[in-house]
Amino acid sequence: MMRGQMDIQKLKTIHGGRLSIIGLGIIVLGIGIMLTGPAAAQDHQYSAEQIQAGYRTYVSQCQLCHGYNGDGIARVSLSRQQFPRAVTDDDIRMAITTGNPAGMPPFALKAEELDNLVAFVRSGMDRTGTEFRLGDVRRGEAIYEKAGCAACHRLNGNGSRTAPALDDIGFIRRPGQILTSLTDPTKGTMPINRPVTIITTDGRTIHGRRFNEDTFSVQLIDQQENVRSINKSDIRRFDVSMTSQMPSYRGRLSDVELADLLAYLVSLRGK
Amino acid sequence: MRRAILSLLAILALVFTPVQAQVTSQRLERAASEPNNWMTYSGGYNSQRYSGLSQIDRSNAKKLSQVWVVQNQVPGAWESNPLVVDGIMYVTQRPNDVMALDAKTGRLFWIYHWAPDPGAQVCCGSNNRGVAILGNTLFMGTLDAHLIAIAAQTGKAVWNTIVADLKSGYSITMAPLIVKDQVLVGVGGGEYGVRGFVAAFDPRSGKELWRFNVIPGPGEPGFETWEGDDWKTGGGPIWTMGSYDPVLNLVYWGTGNPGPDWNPAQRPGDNLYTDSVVALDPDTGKLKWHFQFTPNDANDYDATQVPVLVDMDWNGKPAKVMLFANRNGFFYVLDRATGKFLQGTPFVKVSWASGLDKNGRPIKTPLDKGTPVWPGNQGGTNWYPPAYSPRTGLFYFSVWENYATTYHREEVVYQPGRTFLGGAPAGISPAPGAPTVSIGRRGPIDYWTNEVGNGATVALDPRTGKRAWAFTHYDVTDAGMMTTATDLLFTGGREGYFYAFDAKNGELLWKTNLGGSIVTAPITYQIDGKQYVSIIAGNILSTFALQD
Repeated sequence: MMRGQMDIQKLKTIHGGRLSIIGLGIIVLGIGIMLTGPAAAQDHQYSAEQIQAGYRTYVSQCQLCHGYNGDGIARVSLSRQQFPRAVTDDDIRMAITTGNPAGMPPFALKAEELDNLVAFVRSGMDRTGTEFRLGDVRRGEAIYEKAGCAACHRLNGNGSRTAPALDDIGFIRRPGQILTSLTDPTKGTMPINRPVTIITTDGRTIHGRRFNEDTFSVQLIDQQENVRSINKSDIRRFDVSMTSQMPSYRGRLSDVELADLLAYLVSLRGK
Repeated sequence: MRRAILSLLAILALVFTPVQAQVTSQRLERAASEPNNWMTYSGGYNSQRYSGLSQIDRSNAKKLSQVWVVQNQVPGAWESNPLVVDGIMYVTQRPNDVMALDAKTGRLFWIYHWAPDPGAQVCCGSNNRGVAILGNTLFMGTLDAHLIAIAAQTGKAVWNTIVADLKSGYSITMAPLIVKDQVLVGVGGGEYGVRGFVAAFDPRSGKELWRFNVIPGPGEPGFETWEGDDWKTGGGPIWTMGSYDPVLNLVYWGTGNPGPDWNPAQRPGDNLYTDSVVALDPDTGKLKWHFQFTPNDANDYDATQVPVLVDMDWNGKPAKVMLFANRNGFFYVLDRATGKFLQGTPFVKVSWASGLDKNGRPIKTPLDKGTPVWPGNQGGTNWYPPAYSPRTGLFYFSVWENYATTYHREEVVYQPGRTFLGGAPAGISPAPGAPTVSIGRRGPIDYWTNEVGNGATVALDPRTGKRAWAFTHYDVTDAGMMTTATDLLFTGGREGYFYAFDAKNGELLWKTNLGGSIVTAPITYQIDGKQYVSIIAGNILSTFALQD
């Protein structure tokens, strides 16, 4: 298995509408389907135990049709919170218990099992079960301003470009991953984004954030926000820092503030 | 007068001889004697991917330039391997199209289109790896497990036969192999609990002539390596290309993983003949010998490399050997007449086994649940076709280094046509819990970093199992190899570079960036005195020659 193309092929099936590998007996018809944003989840706590228990329920009850990555049904991505109709956590519970005419049967699950499934789905199907709490989106937006995130990050056209832009961070990263980036940035950094320091053969020193790299060259944005591409043959020394330059916000923000900020970041899903 | 008429007839015969000569099986056996053509997947039955052409050499390789390009409009990895016969190239594209084109210009003669049943299932992409040719007929396996014969001149189907039931998860992605006027083809489906097989078909009628089941049934040798009904869903697909030794009269195939993939506790025993190489009598399909690389596999180590057949001295005596760089991280040398294990050495970090015993059986290392396993799920190498040069005596292949995977394992209930995996792999991350990247195909921004593994083009001395040289890629690589009589090695990588190396020492002689991942192997051919090299990268098929 896994000759290297599985995840991408499934994405194609969804976005490109190709049906060649869909072998599921139940295919959701596109009737009345509307892609919505994430739930306006207000102050919800999802524990590691709930997420992991939800995963077990998912495997036994849901995976057959929805697939390992939650994208087995056309135009639904459970891991990315793309649902035909559901917005709130209660909507998700309702969708599970009532089923739908497109082919999903109703599931008679206990309240606790439903809570666990919701937690697993809201975690972005995080099998490691990182616990998180989503607070108030609006308060989180104010904390984003107050905490000075824009000193490095760019959002809605404002802020520095030296750290990754956050416009779609809630779409491309799971809540648990975003929380890790807030509380333990070194651990949370995507490896490609690591800070690099380059000394060229002609003696220049360049600090920046890596965009892309291959055998012969590296692309980055330097601290003056210049986008640069450098041939490795022109590099005398190339250091990739394993330490993020972002401070941890655990302790700088209260748990409530962190939950609010996380709710705001999770709500950012791009244009 | 009579003599004059005979002469005239002889001249007429010359004039009216068709441009395309019949590709007989005798011609395929002697492929090395006509290096102008590339008539089988691997360029010859020994699967060395070694060409006798010599126009492009180490001194002029830097003058290679692009002659023509064909772009396809089909999304997804393009893993096909073109054939070139008498100036015409035959290549497939997703899902099951065959194109015939002028190998000098890239201009198309025809396209044959087959729309596979939408119920067809393939674990890892709608791939097709190419056609086989016999006479004036092409043969293609399809995603919905048909075998189709197509007229090479016109692109019209001659016959179409069902090889296996797609509803049970069977598919065909491999290029068939022609042996002694038979079309041999195997099936994929190792992720769906199939019972893998390879079968021979009559090229004229499409009638099945014999079938070898990779998983033995009750009463057959090897059945004792299964418990209960596990054999019925035992997997063992044959999804990559085979090799053939006409003198020994044996065909060789690597076999795929047992089912379910990642839960060996659910199928106790060695699980023959999964993860093995099998030697079959091509006249009957009977098993002559087998060698199992990975008994009771836990890590999806399909033995689906192309077996490379080499005649070389072994311990001072001429020997007929098979070279096999395995997904499980070991490089094997086998006696291909008997299957006897001659040597096995790890070519990357291996943690699942501490070594091999005197018979080549792995000495397994108990690993705690969740412990990273080296090599990772994609293997130390994989289906990417290797090459061997009788001139350098070196074996060339793509390797994934410093790459590991953790596994989640679970009981799974078999349901026909559903995935039968028994868990899932996860890439390891640079720090516990830190984000990492999928091993899937990537776009122009490459989120992969060498923190989680890197590729290498490796030249191995089969006598010692040691590296003669290696070229390190930043990204991993799924590229195949091709080497020539002028000691060039052509290959590529996921980054989109196409390379020509000095096959003797690994010196990089030439490279070009084709802007898309190379996930197949190069071929070479010659027309009107000009040598060409073709490679597929991303969605283009690109052909190079020396600048005039």
